[in-house]
Amino acid sequence: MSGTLTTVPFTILFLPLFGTIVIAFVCPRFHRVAAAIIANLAIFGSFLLTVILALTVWRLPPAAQAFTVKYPPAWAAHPQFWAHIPPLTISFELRIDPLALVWMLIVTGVGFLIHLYSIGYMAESKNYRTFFAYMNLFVFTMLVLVMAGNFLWLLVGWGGVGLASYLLIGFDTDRPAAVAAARKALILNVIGDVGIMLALFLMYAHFGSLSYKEVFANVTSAGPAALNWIGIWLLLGAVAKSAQLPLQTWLPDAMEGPTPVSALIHAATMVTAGVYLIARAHPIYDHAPLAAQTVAIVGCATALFAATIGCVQYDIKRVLAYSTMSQIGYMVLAVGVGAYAAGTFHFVTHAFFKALLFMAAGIVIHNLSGEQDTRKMGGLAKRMPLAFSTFLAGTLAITGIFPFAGFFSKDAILDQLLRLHHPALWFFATLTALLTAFYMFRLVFLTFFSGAYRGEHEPHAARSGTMALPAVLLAVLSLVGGWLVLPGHDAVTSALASTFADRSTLESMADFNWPLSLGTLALAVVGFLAAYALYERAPQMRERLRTTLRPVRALLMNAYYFDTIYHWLFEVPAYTVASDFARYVDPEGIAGVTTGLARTTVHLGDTMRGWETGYLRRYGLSMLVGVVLILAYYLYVAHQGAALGAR
Amino acid sequence: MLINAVIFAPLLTAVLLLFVPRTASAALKGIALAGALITFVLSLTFLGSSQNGAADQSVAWISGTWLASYHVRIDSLRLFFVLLTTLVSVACIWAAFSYADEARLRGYLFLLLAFETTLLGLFTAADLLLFYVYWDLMLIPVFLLLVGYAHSAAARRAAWYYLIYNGAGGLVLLLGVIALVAHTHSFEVLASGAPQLSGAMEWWIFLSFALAFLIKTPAFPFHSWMPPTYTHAPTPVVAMVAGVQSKAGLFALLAFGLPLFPHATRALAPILLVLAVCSIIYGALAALGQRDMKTLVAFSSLSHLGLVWLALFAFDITSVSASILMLVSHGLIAAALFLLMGFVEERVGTRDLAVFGGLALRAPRLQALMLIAAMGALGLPGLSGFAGEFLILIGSWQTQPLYTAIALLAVVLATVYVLQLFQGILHRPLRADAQAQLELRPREIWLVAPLLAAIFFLGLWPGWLNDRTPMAISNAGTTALQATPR
Amino acid sequence: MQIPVGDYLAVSAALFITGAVGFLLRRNPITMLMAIELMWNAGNIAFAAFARSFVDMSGQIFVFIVITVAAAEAAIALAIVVMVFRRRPHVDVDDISIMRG
Repeated sequence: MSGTLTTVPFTILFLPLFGTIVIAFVCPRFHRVAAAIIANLAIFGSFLLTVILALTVWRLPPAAQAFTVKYPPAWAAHPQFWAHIPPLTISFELRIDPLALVWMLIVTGVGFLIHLYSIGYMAESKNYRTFFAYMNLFVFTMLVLVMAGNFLWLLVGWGGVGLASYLLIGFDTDRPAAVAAARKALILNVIGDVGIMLALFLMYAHFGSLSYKEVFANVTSAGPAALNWIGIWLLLGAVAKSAQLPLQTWLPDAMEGPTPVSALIHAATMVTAGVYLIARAHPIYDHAPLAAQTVAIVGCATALFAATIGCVQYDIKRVLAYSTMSQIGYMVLAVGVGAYAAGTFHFVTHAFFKALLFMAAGIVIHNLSGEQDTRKMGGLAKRMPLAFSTFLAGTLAITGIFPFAGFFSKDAILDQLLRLHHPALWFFATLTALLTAFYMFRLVFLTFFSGAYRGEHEPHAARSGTMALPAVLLAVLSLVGGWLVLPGHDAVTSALASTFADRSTLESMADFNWPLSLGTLALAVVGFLAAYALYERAPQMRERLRTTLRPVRALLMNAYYFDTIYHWLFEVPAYTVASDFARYVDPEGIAGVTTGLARTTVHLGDTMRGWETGYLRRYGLSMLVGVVLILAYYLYVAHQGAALGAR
Repeated sequence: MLINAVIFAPLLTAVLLLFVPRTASAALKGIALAGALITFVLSLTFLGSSQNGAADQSVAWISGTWLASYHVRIDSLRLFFVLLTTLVSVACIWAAFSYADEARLRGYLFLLLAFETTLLGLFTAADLLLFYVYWDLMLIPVFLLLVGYAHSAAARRAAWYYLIYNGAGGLVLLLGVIALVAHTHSFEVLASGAPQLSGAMEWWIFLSFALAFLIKTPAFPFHSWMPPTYTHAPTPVVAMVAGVQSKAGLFALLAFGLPLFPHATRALAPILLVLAVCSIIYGALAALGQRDMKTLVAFSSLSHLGLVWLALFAFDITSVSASILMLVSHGLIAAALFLLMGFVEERVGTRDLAVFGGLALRAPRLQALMLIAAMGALGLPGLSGFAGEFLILIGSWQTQPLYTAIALLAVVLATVYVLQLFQGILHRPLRADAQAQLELRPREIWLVAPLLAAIFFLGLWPGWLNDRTPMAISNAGTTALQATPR
Repeated sequence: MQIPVGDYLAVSAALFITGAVGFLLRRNPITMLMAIELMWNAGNIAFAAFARSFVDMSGQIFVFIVITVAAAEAAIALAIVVMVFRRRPHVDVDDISIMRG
């Protein structure tokens, strides 16, 4: 293997970590901008190297495109790195293959653009350095996740991104809402970690290894029941990380974090890790039909579920959060039915347009001094033309308007659903597409049109080149990103082919189903028209609708009361039991037994103490009586013995 | 000879302190820290040569009907406990510098160093009599430190609680030791493999050993002495007790319990497994309900050490081997957490999580250090806490899937209570009446840093430790692993 | 003429009872010490008598030990009594009961 293929991945992985360390330990001596520059350079370097690596790998013959590198090469002979307790051996290895490369490209590429954007967005933050240190840390852990060569290191990355996400959501440590949101995100993510741990235990029990290579090579040696369980537990990890039902509640709250964080972690990269996990573990799901089916149903349900909620929310970032949830639902649905290429394709386009949407929303929020409620916006199209045009590009992409990216990637998923014979799932996914168009255009109208500006403070048009440039770049990508798949030409499937070589079929997306695409496009237009009618032309109709659908609206406004249900189902009982344990059971129950024993002893002592009067006569008498008694006893025994002996 | 140097260097330093005037506090501090550092460096030399019984010294001590010898040993099982002791002691003695009462500093340092020697003696003792002597000797410095140097009625009460409870445990152990030695006629019980005891006899003797170990660790439901001790003891003392002394019971189980009573361990395993799982869940839930930060970490210790009980009695080679990793890792994390919490308490003057908060704004370095320690306790992948937990659970899953699944619940609960601790101290708005000086001083950072570095190192490369503890498998593991319950 | 051992024992018992009663009834520590001496010596008489009767010297040796111990005891006890006398004018053992539990 050439030197490039062993050292480059290592460098890609550790550049961001290096950035974190430098920012944390060296930068405090320098101007704060130094931190931003180092962070950006680290990610940009990583991105460039990833591009070089990708170009190298994709030029190789398909069989050589997927390879494992053990690190550090000099230690390859040391089996004890990471852990070595015979028979268990877990090494530090990286797996480079097209699937990982796609994710690496997005993580470093989109990640770099968002770093660039953060320079301007976070300019007023007091903890500027910390922010960039955390962001670099996030990219590092995300790279660990996607580059890992075995499930253990995947889990390390998995936990690491959870930590980075926690730190960044709760970046404003003095804002209680942010602190609570961060806590919630980490707890739900740890539930997912536990799911993955269970899957790993089962894998080790059945395959004796956690390495991708060995697990996937022996996947048929385990029965379908075991594989289904492994699949279900992996899914638990995936739903927690990707905010799918039923562990989705943390994502809307995560919008408490700074907007670049939402763009990078909670839209473009980390939340799609669940999709990556399922695509990565596809040999397991291919042999675990029940688990795969569950994946698909979860994805489809979440897509629809989140889209309905998105229709009524007012917070601009929350709507985007629900749309992220919904779009990831699409991806999960796609990988669940086995349309891995389509799922990956949608991940790529989604990373572009969702990061773009968050950036545009971020510009709006930044210019409105932190206002996120769309009811206090309106009429901003003229005041912020850049934000408007980029936001519109993102909206056109997400709703699947030709020729924007979403048109190609979403239709690919819908098309595959029909080809793989899942009509019911297809129906709900299509319905979701309609809702998506509605709520996204509703958001556009609420924010940028619908009459005049409704806010109190005059928006200040702070322009920052570092914020505008990435947005424009992503807008372009949101347009052209979909052209990876054109009729008769499917770059995505052919690029990914070597990862999915073990599958007999990986459906190509090149063969367009034009009636279906046009039908979906028509639905998007219907969604647009509905939003236009309700929010631009006839507000009175909106009022009427609101009164007739009041209970439904309340349900949606409260996100189907999931938070409330979880609060009463888990939080309250756990805390009740915990505080009872802490206040009564432990100090009075368990410690009570020991203190009770001690108290009995003391009491006994108190009673005995009464005998000790301190009068010498009393002691003398007791001694005398004692001596007499002992003597009497011995004389009696002796007498008995003599009597016995005489007899 | 070197091994005795390691064991007694702290005690010698302590004696040396007595010749320094009470008032020369700078000299006292310098000598004490130097002594601890020298001990640490000496103990490090064993790392290079830890193949098979790196150091072993045996001198006949008592002859007659019952043979006893002064037999000390550092082998791969004991090495990391010794290293943990010496490393944590350096941090603790350095932390003791901030002890307020200058006039009593000498006694304070003396007792801390003496405590270190008793711990080192315990971890190196290969003779049962020697082991027992250290087992009870350990109580004295801790008791005196609690009674004389904590300045609160609660601490004095905790001292008696600690002494009597652990003393009772010691007596139970003594009973078992006498019964065992009455059979073997020698305290050198490790020399000749598992003694041939009758089934019932082995069962009873192991029960007495196990009870003493359960109390010392502690495990549910014998943990009542722990919350008051951990809550009220002076910072360095609690860091040493939670970090090092709490490993004594499980170490003894590995070094004596499993090799001596292979059949009884099997027979008693069902009960001990239940106690382990109870410790894990009960500790986690009780921690969740705490408002006092130190009590919270005390209960989290109960939960984490319960995991080691599970590991040992799951009788899986992986989990038994990983238990050493977990013990060392927990020692580092608990010591670091208690030290950091001690610094916080010094500054804020309270331990109530509901009262203060927001320190992150003024003390970013405290936040950074606390983050590592807290994430270690939480089991974040990449830190030593995770490595220990994961390797234990992946092993115990193979033999005890049900208990392992229940234990996993505690991983989620750990996240909740650790965040409660971490955010309670550092996040939310800062109180208006907060002191000006909240950030850690350089001394405080440097004394915790080695512990945190070790947490990182063992998390990223647990195999380094696993590879150096193979004896643990052959010595303790296999006898019990291959035995059948009788 | 040989005096039977029972006579010696009778004297010894009488002495012992005198001593015991004296110890229990008197409150002056000096008198009580004298009573204790009586009890010691009652024991000594019994020892000596039995030694003679059984022709076993160990009984007589024991008498010496008892005398020595008695002397030591008297010395310590007298020291304590003297200390107490220094502190208070009248000495009644019932007043010195501060050491009770």
